Amino acid sequence: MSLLEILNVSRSFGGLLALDGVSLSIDRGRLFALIGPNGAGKTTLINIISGYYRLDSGMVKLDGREISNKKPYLIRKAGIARTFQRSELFSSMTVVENMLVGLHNSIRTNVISAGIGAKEAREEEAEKREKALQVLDFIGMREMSDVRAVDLPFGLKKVLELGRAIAIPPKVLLLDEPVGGLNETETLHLDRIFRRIRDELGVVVLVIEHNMNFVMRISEHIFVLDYGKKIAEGSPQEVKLNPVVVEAYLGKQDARTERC
Amino acid sequence: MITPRRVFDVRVGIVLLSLFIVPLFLRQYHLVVLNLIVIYVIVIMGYNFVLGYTGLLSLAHAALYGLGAYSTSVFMAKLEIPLYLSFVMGGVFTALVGLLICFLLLKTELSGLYLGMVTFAFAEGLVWIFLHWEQMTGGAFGFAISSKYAFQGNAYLKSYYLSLCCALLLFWFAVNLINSKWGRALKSIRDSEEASMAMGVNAPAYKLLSFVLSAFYAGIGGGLYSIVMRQIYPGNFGMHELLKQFSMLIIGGQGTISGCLIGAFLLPLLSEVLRSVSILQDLFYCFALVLFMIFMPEGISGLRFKMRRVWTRRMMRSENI
Repeated sequence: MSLLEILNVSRSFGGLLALDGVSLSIDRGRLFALIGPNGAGKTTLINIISGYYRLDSGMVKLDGREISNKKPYLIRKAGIARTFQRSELFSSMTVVENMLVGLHNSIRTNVISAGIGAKEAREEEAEKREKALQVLDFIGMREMSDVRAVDLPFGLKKVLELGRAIAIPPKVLLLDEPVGGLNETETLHLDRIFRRIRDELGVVVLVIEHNMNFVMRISEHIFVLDYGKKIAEGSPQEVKLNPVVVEAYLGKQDARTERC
Repeated sequence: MITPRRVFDVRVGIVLLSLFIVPLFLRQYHLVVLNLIVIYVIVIMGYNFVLGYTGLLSLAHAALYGLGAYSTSVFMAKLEIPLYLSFVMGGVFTALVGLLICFLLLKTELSGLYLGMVTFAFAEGLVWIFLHWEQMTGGAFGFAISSKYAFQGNAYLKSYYLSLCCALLLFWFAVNLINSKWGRALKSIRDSEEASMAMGVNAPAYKLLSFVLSAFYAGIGGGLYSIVMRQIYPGNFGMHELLKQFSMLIIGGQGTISGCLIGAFLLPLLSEVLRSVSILQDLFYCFALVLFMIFMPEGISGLRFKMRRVWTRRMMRSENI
C-alpha cells in the first residue's frame, strides 16, 4: 500500500475545472516532482491535499486513512507538512521562534502552567528551544537564531521555511516552488538539504517546481499535469522524452519534424 | 524582550518597591491618577492579546471594560457580594461574554474590517444597555456604589494596592504566556494564519483563547475602576474611551508587553498635563495616534526592533565580505 494516495480528485472554481479526476500514488523513500505548465492545477492539488481547499469529488488517503476535507492543522498532525509559493514566514518573530512554532504540537504545556511559569513548563520550553537550535543546525542557520525573519535575505527565508516544516518530521512534505527566485548556488544548497531530509529523516517529498534543471536533478519520479489532468508519469528520462509532455510544454511538433 | 528571568532583575526590584512605597506620600488626587494608570496597564495588556498579538481588530474592548465595571458594581451593591470576590466575578462574567461574541465571530468566519465592524456594533449595543436598562445600571445618571460596600478608611490607598497586586499578577501571567507556545501561536496567527495552520496550530481555538483572555483583563480592569471611582456612567465606556485605549496601545507599541506599560503610563500622564484645557486632550490623542500610525507604526517599544534591524544588516554585510 502506498503512503499517500490521491484517488480521482476533482475540483472546480466556478465554471473552471481546475482538477479533473487526478490520481497519484506516492510511496515511501523517494523524491517526487509534480510539473506542468502554468495553470495546470499543481498548487490546487497541494492545497487540497493539505486541507486549504475542499475537493468536489474523489479521496485523499494517508497510510490508508482518509484525510480528505480535514482542517489544515489536523492534516499537519496526521503527518503532511507543506511550504508555500510565496514565503510565509512569521515575519515579526525571530528565526528560532519560527522554528518553535514548527515544534508547536510537540509541546505539551497547558495554558495555566505556561501562564504561571511552572517548573515543568520552563523545563520543556528550554528543551524545545534546544531542539529548535538543532534543527537550525541541520539547515545551517544556527548563527541567525535571533534575527527577525523579516530581516532575512530571500534565499534564507526559503531555507527557514523548509526547516520549519520538518521541525516535527512529517511523513510527507509538500513543497510549492521551493527554489523559485533563487540563484544557482542557493538552489544547490537546497538540493543538499532535500536529500538529507529524504535520507536522514525518511520523509517523502513531493515538490512542485518550474526550474527544470532542479527537477531533473533531484527527482526520481515525476508526475505531469496539464489542464487539470495527469498526462504522464515516470522517471525523469521517460518524462523528458514523452511526446505528450513535450506537446504540453511547447505545443504540437511543427512541420519541420514531419518533413524529415 | 521581557523574559521571565529578567523580570527578577534588581532594577525591577527597585521599581516594584517604589510602586508600593511612593503612594504613601502622594496626595489623594495623584493617588487616583496613579491608580488609573495601573488599571490601564491591565486593560491595555488585555487589548494587546487580541489586537497586538493575534492581530484581530476588536473594537469592543472599551465596552467590555464597561461590562466589567457594571457587572462588578451590580455584584457588589445589588447582590451584596464581598468586594474581593465581586471584581473577580466581574472579570469572569466579562470573559464569558467575550467567549460568546468570539464564538459567533468564528462561526461566521469574519475577519479583518468586518470583524471590526461587528465588534463595534456589539460595543454600541452594550453601551446602549448601560444607558437604557435603568433599574439595573442607573441609566444616564450612572451607577453609584454606596460607601458601605466599598473600602473603609483610606479607601484610595487600599484600592490602589488592590489594583497594583492585580496588575502585577496579570503582568506576570501575560509575560509567561507570551513566551510560551501559547503566545507564539497567537503571534503566528497574526503574521500568517495560513502558515500557522500548516504548523498544526488550531487557529480558531487560539483566536478564541485570545479573545477570552482579553475580555477577562478588560473585565478585571473595569471592576477595579468601579471600585476606585464608586460612580460609573455609560459615557465612560463609549467611542471616546475606545480611542483612548487604542492610542495607548499603538503609541506604546502593539505586540509587546513593554509597549502596554509605556502606553498606559505615558498617555494618562500627558493628558493630565492638558487637563485644564479639556478640548486639547481629545486633540492630543487624535494627533498622537495619527502621527504614530504614519511615522512609528511599531510604537515606542518598536524602536528597539529598528535598532536590531540596523545591527542585523551590518552583520549580514560583514559576512558577505
